[in-house]
Amino acid sequence: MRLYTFNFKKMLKAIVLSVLYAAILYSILLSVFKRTWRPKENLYYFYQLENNSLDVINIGSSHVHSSINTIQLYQDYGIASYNLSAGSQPVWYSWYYLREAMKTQNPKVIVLDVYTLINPNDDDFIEKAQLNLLTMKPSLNKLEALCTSGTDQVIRLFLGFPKNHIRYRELNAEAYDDKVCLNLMGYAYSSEVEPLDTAEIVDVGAVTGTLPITEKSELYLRKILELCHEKDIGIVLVNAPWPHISVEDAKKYNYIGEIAKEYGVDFLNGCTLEEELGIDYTTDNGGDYGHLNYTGSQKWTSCLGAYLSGNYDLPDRRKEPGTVWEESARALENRMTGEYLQEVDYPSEYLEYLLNHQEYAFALIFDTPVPTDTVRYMDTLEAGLGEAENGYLVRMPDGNLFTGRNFSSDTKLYTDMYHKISGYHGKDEECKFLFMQFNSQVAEARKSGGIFFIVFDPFRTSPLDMIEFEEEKGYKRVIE
Amino acid sequence: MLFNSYHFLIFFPLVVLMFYIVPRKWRTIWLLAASYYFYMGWNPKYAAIILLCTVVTWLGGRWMSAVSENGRAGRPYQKLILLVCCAVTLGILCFFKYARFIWDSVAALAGGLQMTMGEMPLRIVLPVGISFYTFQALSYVIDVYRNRVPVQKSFLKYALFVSFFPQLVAGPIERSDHLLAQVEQIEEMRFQTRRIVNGLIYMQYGFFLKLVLADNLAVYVDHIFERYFFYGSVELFLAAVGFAFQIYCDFSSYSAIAIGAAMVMGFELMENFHAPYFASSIQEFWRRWHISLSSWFRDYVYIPLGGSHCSKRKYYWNLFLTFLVSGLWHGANWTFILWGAIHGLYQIIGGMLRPLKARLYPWLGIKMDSVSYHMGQILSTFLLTTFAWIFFRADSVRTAFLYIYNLFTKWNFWVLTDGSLKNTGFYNGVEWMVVLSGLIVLMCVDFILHKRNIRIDAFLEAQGNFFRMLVVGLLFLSTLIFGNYGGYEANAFIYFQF
Repeated sequence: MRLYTFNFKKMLKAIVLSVLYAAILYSILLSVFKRTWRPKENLYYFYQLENNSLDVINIGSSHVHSSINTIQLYQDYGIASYNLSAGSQPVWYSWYYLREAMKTQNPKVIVLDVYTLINPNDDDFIEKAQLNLLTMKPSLNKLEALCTSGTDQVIRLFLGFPKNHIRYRELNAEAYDDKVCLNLMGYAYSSEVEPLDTAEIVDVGAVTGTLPITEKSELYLRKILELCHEKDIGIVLVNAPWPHISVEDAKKYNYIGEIAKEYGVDFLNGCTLEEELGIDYTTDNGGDYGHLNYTGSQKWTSCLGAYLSGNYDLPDRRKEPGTVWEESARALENRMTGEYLQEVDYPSEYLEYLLNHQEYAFALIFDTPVPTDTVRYMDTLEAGLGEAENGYLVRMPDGNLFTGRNFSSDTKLYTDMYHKISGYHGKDEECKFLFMQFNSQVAEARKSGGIFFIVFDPFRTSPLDMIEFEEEKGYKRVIE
Repeated sequence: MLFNSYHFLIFFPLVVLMFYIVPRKWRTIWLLAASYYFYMGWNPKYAAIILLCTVVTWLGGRWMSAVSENGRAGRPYQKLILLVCCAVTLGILCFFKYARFIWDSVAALAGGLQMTMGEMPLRIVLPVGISFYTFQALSYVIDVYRNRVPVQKSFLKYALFVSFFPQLVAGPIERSDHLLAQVEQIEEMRFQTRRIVNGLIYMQYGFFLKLVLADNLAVYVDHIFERYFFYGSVELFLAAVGFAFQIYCDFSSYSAIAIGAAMVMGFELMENFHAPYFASSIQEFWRRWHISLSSWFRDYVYIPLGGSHCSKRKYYWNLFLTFLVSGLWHGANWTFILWGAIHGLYQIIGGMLRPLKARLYPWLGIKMDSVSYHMGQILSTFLLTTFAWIFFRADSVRTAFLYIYNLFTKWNFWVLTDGSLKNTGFYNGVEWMVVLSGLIVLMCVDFILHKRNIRIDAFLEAQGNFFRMLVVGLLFLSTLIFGNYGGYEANAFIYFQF
């Protein structure tokens, strides 16, 4: 008896339909699990960079992205660099990161931060596999990295979606903010200050002697050095300044320095250069166990920038307009502005700042007598709103102004304002963000009886800042 | 090896592929080897226990067959052989499953009498699925004794019947006249695209029930049951209802995957669930819930005790005892016994009240053939089973009673409106939407089964390719996106502990 009956036409139809069906499902999955669902680590944004656009790649742990201001390197030295780093990254992950980077980039110099090489226990990094490797695109390189990591979640981390799919729970508008510049080229800007008692800081400048690092750390460090030599890529080892270093740690860094010498590679040990750099841990420490903040990173970046420009022939990318570094610089400035505005406590001061910074689009909505000094600023815009009982003023980045006054209800005010914004045919990209940011959150955040500001963010889907000043509260900030 | 593991996703296609490729006469061996490999994925030593059980019951069957040639004179010997088989099989089950429970219960009693017994000297690990395959093997040997089925001469075929991997660790508990008869025909099984596709669809539905519903519900249910003392009536009620659906989805998902997997290879396993929460009485509930087990207890415990062919008092006693044993089968804890006893009492009280209801309701103007009455019956049956599930889920009898006490006394209806319910247990409110949507899907599928007696794979086949692909695609995407997996180890199925 025949156990198998074949109808060729039927089989072909089934195969074609199955392939088509699988393709449709795959496209749906791809759009669902697209970039925005993946955690936004530095590696995530790295993949979006133009091929062969980097001259310097900074690799290592969080000491890289907290201490190296890539925007400053660009603005002060014209260096096109990126912080390809991840939290608690051991040097074996750095090796795989380097190989990943070399698939699409052709850097002239690699800056390798060696902070984690002094850890005596390799197994401490097993649980960091997710943080470091989840975002990596599936490839042989990723598979090797996962197998080296010691993790028991190789398949889940390799595929990515078994870990990422659960992020549907926490998706919000910001999860879809996907612009590369928002990543600030891998720089983790922080204005936090956690003053340290300097008495606790050990001066390791004069420490001599060496202590070995683990075999695995040394193996991968040498692999990186050899690969760079093989590919004729410059490499410098660095150790960004951090305050909790001990004498034992310093000896291990000395050991690393010896290895660097073997390969004729320089080692910039920031922990021995603190005085020279002017690092002050009462103002430069950002917290989180030894990360530099913005002021601290400026000092370290200056040192690194001077070294790179003095020792390597790197092109000055400032001559090329419209780069992603320029956009990132704006994004950084944007972030700093947002922080500044959140400290402002009075409407006239707030409005004055916005008037002096034309690049920010904002809307001002009021339904209360506006203080005289604020009216004075509004009058500079010739908005004619000084006598109105209520109204709004919207200023676009190109200086275009929309106003409205004396509405019988909030709904009419919002409708009028929205129609005018939507009728604006200015810079389309920024318009898109204005529309998205003028949403129900605005109406919910705004309480009646005050002067309400919303400052639009040109890079994100949420406003840069929203603030309401109430007369009864003496025009103090009432929403955070 | 769990169904919802990457290991199984590689294992299953490989087994199926080889099943159709290898020469037909090797199919039994191949499937037997795969089944043992599947089982040993938990612990290689488990293989010895299932093998022992298989050998004893197979030899018992062969021996009974040999003795039966002596006619009626051989009957007492057959009875003896049967008793030995039962003693050995049930002995294995009792040792692994109840030894610790018995020791702890006696120790608790001794403690009450101011005596100490100390820890049990033996460390016994319960082999996965032991309650299922021992019952399956027992059913064979009992059926041989009753001359209901012919004795199986091939040890390999019989071993495959006992260890068939899709239903090995959590049922359905098959009968020899159904599954063993199919194993006999294994060499004739054909590659049929239609049957295979339907099998895969049913497996997909099973994964949806497990990963999207059962495992997401578990997050909320576990949270509330572990901290019941912090919560009021509303949360406790929702957690009890949640558990009712969690255990249903968890258990029926396993059956769905098992049935689907068997279908792919050409086997037909018995249906284990038939829209149980559409039952309009507890009696009907047990005709729809874990059908393979309840029919097993009916045929091998209840009917031998006398069933309903005796006095009313004996009938009630038989019913109660059967449910008590059923409770005990579910777990070695007084909570399970109490759960079984509650269901027994439900049946007894239901039986006692039936004549009274038949006279009282018409007098009250209640139309017993109306839709509203029928819906009322479904709802009240659901609430009664949910109440009993509290004992099933609680980790001790004391916890169960305290839970129920809080459920009925700590009124807190404001949590329905003040927003505090949204983030209780779940990460945020999104999980509620996922679970509620999933439950709507479940109820729709069960409604179709209840009204038209047609399973989802057959229903979809009747709708045509386009609709079928749409639904299957949605199930697949939902499972992939909303399924609770990947963050931690694959969640084991609840019934594995039995």
